Amino acid sequence: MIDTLFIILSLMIIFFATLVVTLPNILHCALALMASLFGSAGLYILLNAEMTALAQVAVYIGGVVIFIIFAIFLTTRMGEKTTPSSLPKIGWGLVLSSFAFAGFYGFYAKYLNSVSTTGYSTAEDGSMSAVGKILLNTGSEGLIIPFEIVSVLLLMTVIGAVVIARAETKALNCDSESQENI
Amino acid sequence: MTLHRLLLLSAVNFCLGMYGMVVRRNVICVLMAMELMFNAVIINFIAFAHYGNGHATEGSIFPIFIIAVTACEMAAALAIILTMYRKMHKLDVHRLDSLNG
Repeated sequence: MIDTLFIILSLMIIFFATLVVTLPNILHCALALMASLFGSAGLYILLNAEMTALAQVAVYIGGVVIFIIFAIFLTTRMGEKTTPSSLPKIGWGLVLSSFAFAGFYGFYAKYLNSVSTTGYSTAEDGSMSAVGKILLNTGSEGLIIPFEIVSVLLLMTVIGAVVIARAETKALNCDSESQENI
Repeated sequence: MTLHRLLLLSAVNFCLGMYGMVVRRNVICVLMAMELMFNAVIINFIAFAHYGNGHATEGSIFPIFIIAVTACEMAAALAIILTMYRKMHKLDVHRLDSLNG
């Protein structure tokens, strides 16, 4: 049962990931990315990482992909195709990625046998309460400091994003005013 | 479902992302290819958390940090993309040469 689910999910992930890098319409790419991320969220649930699957669906699919779709809507006309990439570039991409895959494959074939894979996680290990107990623990094993740092980072990037996105017109106005004054 | 198969799945995902980063010219497409690579990394983390000995909870916490940092990065990237579109009306990465890189 789990093997069948794994095969279905991995085929889904790889199929939609291929669509993301090949489709000419960017909006279709973003939707394919969404489907691929949904597939991997299913895979996390299969691997007992329930909280990560929830974060994947809520933040990645609900946040990041929606961000991307916003950017697409703001910058692209409906139905506009991307410029097709040149043939030598496709060749370079294929050579590079197949070399990387051969490297991964060889590495795993050589060294993976020495990794002991005896322990399996249980459903409690990735559950929300277990994750929360470690994430908000102020003791030596707790991860409260990285958690707080991430929240500060999020605030800083949002402020920085606003500044970058609106600095343009302001700076231009200031420039033209100062030039007029001169 | 073994550790080996999971790692191969994430390697395929990573290489697809790498191919997309090399081939695509649109900035948003390059960003989406990068998302695929991040996703491959997260699959690796979860796989090792499941098949390793103990510490499965910590292994599933680190991907949450990756996801949060990716969300930050996308917020900054959206601002940069908007600025770039206002400046040059095209999202071609080959035109991003004002830093002479």
